[in-house]
Amino acid sequence: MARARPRGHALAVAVAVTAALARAVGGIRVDRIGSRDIARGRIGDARVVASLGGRAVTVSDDAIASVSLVDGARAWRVTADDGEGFEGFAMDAARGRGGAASGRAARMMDVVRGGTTTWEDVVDVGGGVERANGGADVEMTRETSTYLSRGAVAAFDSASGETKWRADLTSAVSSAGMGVRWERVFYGSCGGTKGSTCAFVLGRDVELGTPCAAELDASDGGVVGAKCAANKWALAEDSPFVITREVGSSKTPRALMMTRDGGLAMADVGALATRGKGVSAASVPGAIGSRVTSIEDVIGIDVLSRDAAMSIGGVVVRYADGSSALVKTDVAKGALEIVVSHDNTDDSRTTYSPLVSSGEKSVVVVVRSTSLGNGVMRYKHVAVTVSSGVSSVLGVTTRGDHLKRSSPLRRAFAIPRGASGWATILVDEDATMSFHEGDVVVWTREEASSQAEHVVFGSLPVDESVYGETGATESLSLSERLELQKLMLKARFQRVNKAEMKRLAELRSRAGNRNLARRDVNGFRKSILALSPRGSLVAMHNGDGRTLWRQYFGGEGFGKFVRLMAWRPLSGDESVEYALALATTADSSTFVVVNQYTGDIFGEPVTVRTRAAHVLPIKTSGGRDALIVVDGEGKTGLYPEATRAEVAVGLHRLSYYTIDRNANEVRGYKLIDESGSFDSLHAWTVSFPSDTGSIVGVAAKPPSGENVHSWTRIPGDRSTLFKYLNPNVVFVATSDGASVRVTLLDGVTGRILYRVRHGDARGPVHAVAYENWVTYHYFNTRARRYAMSVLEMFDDGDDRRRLEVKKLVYDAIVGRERNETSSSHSPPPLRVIGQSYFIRPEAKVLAVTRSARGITEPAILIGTASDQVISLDKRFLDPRRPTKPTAADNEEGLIPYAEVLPIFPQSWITHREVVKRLRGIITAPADLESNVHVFAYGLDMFYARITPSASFDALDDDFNFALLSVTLIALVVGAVVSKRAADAAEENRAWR
Amino acid sequence: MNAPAFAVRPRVDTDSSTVREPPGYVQSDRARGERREKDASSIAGDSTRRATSTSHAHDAAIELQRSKLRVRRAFAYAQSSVSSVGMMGFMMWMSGSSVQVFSIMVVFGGVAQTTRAILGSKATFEAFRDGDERANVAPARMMFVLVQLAGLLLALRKLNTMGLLPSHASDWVGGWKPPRSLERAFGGIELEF
Repeated sequence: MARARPRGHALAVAVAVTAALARAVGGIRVDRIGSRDIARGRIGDARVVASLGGRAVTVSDDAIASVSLVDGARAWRVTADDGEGFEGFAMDAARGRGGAASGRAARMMDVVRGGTTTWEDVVDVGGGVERANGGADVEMTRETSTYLSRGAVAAFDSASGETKWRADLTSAVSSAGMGVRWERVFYGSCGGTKGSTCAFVLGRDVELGTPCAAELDASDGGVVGAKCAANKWALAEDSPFVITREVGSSKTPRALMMTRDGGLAMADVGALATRGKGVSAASVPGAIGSRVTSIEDVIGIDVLSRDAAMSIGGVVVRYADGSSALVKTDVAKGALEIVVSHDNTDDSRTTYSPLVSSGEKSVVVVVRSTSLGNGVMRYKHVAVTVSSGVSSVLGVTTRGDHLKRSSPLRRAFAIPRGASGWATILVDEDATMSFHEGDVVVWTREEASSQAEHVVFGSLPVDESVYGETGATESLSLSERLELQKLMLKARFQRVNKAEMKRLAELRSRAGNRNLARRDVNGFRKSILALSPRGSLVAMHNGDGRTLWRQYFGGEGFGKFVRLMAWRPLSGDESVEYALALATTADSSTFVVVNQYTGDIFGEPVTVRTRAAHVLPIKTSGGRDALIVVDGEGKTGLYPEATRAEVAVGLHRLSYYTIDRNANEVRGYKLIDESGSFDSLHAWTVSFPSDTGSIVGVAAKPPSGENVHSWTRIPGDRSTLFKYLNPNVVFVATSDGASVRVTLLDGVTGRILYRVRHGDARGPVHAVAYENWVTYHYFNTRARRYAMSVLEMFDDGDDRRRLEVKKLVYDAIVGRERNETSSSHSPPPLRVIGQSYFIRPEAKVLAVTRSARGITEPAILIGTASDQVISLDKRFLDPRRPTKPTAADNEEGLIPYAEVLPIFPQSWITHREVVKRLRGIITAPADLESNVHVFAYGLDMFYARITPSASFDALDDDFNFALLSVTLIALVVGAVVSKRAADAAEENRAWR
Repeated sequence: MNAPAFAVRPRVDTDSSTVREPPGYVQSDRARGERREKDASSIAGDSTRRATSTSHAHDAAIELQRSKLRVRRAFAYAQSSVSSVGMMGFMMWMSGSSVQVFSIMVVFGGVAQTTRAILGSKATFEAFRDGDERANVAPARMMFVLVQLAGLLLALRKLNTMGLLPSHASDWVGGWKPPRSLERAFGGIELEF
């Protein structure tokens, strides 16, 4: 009897294993969060940083947030609505109030307690009239908060939000042109002897650029006067208004501005508002001590203060020779006086923090940043008292290394620490934020990815030694591993609280080898390269989102960065993967090649004298990568130039098209080779008549990376449908508000492939085209819900429909190769099948997953208006879904028709995370067929590795091999032991 | 369903020893073979043992009867295969035309069983003849083969309705490579990916 016991043990182990292996297929379970996904919240490119207790309140276009000064952790965050940004912000630290103006919204928030909105209102007087002339500002006093937005001014009670008065300045000034763009609102003395307070608004004429001012009665908002200055005072495009006022004086405030011809102008705001006069030239002293610089050398002025020290009127003057000076305005004399000046060279520059008041004094922290080369930056922090000019060194810090390169300093903010000390928050050109106190960099916040608009998945090196020490990742200790097992078990039985869940996610993210900085055989480990239009490129690891390297190309006149792609340079190292960033200005394009592993710039950036309005990526006949850029006028540029001969060979196969939303047409162009120089030729135009509405949505197939596994689709009746896989299909949707018309056209010939009209529908239309289908999302006005339609195209040619089996069998036996080509010039007859469905969420972005070989059913990724991402199986968007499924339909696996597309809880791949201000979704296949990388980016970022058709070709990566081995051994031992026990029992019975 | 277990017994060998076997005793093939060899050697050694105890004519009549009986048995067997094939058809019908473990097992079982029966029919019917030159089992075998062939066709038809036979054009085009497009048109940079 004793010998038979192991059998019972083995059984128990087997039951345990079965329980452990029985995993739910599909969506992510709550205890699995963090095992395949990462989510990172960002605060954006901080424009304003204000100190509040032990925290800093940061304001960027996208978000207002509060970060801890201890570790940079975010306490709370308020994000702007779509299409709007936080343009104006004012804070009353004493009462914990923060007023934010974003678009037409006026918002008051409690900046101490979680940024909750105290009240909200709309700054509008015209009853929802769209005003193009932007500009929003807030001015806050203890009692009144005055908001300016698009020319409308509204004053509210700071505490209750009750409206005190409203004023409309949109038609206050008679302007022949496009009106006045009102930018600043502030309070000041009305002038005269009474010394009462008025509200002033400053702006500029949109066409002429002349300064304009308005004076409003502070008690009822009545417009006292609004005028613009004479034409000769045209302001420079980026000139700010530096406002100064004398405390306790009856004089109206002054505004310092920079004119278009490089001079400085000082305006008496009251006089300008009432009489259109009072603007005079201001003189500025030379920057460097004895040397006298003329006014013409001034190239810009920067505002240093909002209100804290308006009476001092601190301003930074930038000179043509690169030097800069901190200047204060003497209101009494109306003259400017230099407080401190700095020489700037190529390697070092000076950045001034806004004025902060400390007791009686107003202080500016001046940060001298010097590039030490190799990505290292040294900062010298100096506090300067404006009134006396006394300066004291706060500390010297260094930051950055050869991988995480520090980009040039953009903004500095002084944070009061202790009785008389100051610390500094620095914001780099790439939006990276760091906190410096004394000689120590206390923390750094990675914010570069929040600015990204072009993201691609990159490769990791074969060997992580390129990252040195920083590339190494610590693995879990034994106690942590035990803790992970314990928490996993608890989570499985839903016995974890929030803190434990967080800990579990953290342990999971570090468990296993997912954070190693080298590639793996399944292609699960990738880097994410994010390029911002300003030229910061950051590479992140997809395991834990850490920054692998940072690079900044901006500041060299490259212009706006518009494209990022994998690239193989002509003389590159075969063992290294490269990426190409493309920047464009009004008349040139620059190509920068970087090493994907380290961010090192490969070779020299190349500039061609063509603006990049169209980018044509091509593989030459020699298998080399080349790019043709074409500007709006058809002028072409080629990169690299050495491929010209090879490119010319295949040039006749290339064309491009322009979707002209203004003219409501699509124009196609051919590329021709005119004795070595490429030219473009207008080939066709497809016009959409204005009565069908304007273009509200376009889509085309990705330039590369479409992996089609099978050309055919076999329905249940075993007939053959040949997919129409033309890569040049262009989707154009037009809408007049009452209906949506969809046109599929061929991008090479302009031939219209298909047209369909959806009644009772309106845009915007978001669409994605892939393989032989297009799916698009729009609004159905009759049903008042969103709808998605799908169009599938099949080749319906005679030669496709009448295939003979015996011939096919014969071909198969003799092994005849089929190497077919398709041409847009000989289009087959098409069979287009379409179907429409309702869908609950509103879409902002559509994307589609791509797998390594195209076997996995694609999933459509919907970036919702609520900034989440839904994965929808393409099978639900099949136009052939039957209402009454036949046996053949069932066999084919068609899902029966239902008018609403189902969104399951597991469909939300961002689960509980939100990617605020979602801009785009990119996908890339892993090397394992079933797995797809997904990256959603906006202000925040979210990465997940998903399996659209479940994980059919691999075990889970956290599959417990140890447990399986132990179980197998236990079962074998159990079997052997019980066999012997059974034999012994048999023998005993036989002898009985 | 292999070799039939009902060969006609006992068998009287007119040319050899006439010692009858005990009632109910079924001689195994191997024992029979050994005995035959022994008989042969004893015949060669001593011809006096050739004495017969029963009349030849009577024996011949009985043998004829037995030959007929063998042929009848063979026909009976061939006929019985009709019901087995019918049963198989019923099973296939019951299992439905969808591709499942059960239906696949039944259909492949049907194909394998009938093929094996046809290929092994020679041995099967030899056993019925049991060495009797006069018993002509060929018609019975023919009938058996036809029945099994019908079963095979039934199974193949079933296989076809299940879609497992490459009888459609769609079965031969799955491996075709998608056509390579000769031209390529690109949109503006606003059509980013």
